[in-house]
Amino acid sequence: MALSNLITPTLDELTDLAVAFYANLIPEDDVSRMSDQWKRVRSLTMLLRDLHEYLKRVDRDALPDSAVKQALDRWGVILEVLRKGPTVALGANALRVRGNIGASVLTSYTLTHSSKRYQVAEFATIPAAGYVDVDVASIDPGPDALLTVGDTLEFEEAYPGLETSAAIVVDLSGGDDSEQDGPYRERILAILRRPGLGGTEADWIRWGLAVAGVAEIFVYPNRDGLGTTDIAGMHSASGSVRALTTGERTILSVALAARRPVVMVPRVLETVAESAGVQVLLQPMPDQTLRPDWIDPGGITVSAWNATTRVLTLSAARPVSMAPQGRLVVKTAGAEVVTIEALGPGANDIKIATPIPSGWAPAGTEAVYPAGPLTKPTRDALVAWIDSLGPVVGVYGMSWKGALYLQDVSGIVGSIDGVLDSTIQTTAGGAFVTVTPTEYIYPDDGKVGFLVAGMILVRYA
Amino acid sequence: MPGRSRIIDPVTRDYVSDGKGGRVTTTTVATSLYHAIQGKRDRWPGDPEHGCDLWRIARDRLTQDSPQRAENAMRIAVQPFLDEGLIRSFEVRAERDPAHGRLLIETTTVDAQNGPIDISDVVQFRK
Repeated sequence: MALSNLITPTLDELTDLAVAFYANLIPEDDVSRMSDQWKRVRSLTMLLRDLHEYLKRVDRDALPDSAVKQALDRWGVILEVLRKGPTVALGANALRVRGNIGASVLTSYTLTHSSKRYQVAEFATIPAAGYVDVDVASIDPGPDALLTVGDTLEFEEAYPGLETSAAIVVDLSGGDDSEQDGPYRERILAILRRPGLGGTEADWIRWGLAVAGVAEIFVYPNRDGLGTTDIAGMHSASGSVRALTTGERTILSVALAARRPVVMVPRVLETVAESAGVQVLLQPMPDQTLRPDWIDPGGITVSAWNATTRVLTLSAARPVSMAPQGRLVVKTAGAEVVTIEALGPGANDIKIATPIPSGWAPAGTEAVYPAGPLTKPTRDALVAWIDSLGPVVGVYGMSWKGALYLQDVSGIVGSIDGVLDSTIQTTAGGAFVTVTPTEYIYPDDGKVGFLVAGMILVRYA
Repeated sequence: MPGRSRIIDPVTRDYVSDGKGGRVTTTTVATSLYHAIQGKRDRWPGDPEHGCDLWRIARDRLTQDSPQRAENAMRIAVQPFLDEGLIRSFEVRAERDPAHGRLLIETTTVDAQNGPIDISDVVQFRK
């Protein structure tokens, strides 16, 4: 932010100046620091100081690179760049709904938590496990709507075959407050620095980002033919909830249509989540504290998983080095790190500590590996990278990354403190190849694929 | 050498008229000391360290330790005048007057240029 060049005098400097004037006018009066006259002069210079502060504020708010709050809003109104309102909180597979097998979970179902309202954002049917994890979105926007693992919501009505409450198993994201001065100022400055040119990439991005909840805009010129512009908007979130809902795409489409050059017809694309997996074999620095929590004898797989008792039965006797608080990963859906709560009850059994990751349901023959202090940071960094990718670039996309490249994965893993070396593979163990989301072609070209973290298996080599 | 200041009457808290349309003035530090003692310490943004804590003491009940607190507060308020050499000495003695709910304060102050001056005060307490 540019700072004002206006220099204002301090209260003491102003007082000294005023006292000097006074002493020059009436030299016989006492104007020493604690005198009657000094206090009177000081009181007046405090008013002058206040005026200087006011001038400073006027100077700050006069230009948009330093204006704040209402003054910045005024600039926004002048330039037709309005401050974005708060956004809803979202979570992919974040709501665990329990009920009768076969019972439906509809997107019209609503829930409450601490007077905030939420809505199921994905249709699902309760499977044999007795529960299903579905997408959920808050109806009330703002950061107060953010929920964390363990929070319980109550259904607003008794829905057929479902329990009356449901639990959050993945922290919700989004839930932004009204747009802060920083990003809002950047949007205002962008329109001054890059005035509208009648449909450049910057124009579409600016118009799209003005829509509440839209955190990223990706522009595909001429993808639907010469003179067309395809636009993909996304949330700031993790996983499949980065995709805009149908309603949000309609709002974005209407907002763009209101700004578009008359000869250009924008099309807002549906973004389709596609799972990307990778297997990372870590070699830690030679430091005892970086080693895995237990020694892998090799060949251990899952025999059974009981979600109710949280007991994971191994295909063989537990390694003797396994202990409570030890960590492990299973080569299953998300391959998240879980923690051992207790050993037993059987010789092959371990009890897994809560919270159990959403969708974590290891099945027979899936491999079990020890985890350690490097596992989760590495996995989290990879998930964050995938969440930062745009949709497929394809032939018409511009300056963003949409695919998962080997060199990016290697760079991220190598940047984790404590990692000496690594081998990057496919989840099946083969040589890693770039994972590119789908570039849909006509007649399905109204959508584009984007990557979400699938099995991100990080284990020690 | 301090210049001229208008005298403030501690009872009326106003300047004293000289009967000719002007004000009575003094070359002693009496007016400055008046401000130092009557001013509320920590309450004037122009100089938070200026003033005296007597106003805080007067807000409380008149207790056994009120005289001691008042004497300490006045010494702190007057110390800058000693440090600057504007007064040569300052002595204070406070005494409870429970019958009237007040504290009687007697001071002996010697102005560096003009000799002894009197800034004794009466602090009224809550009953």
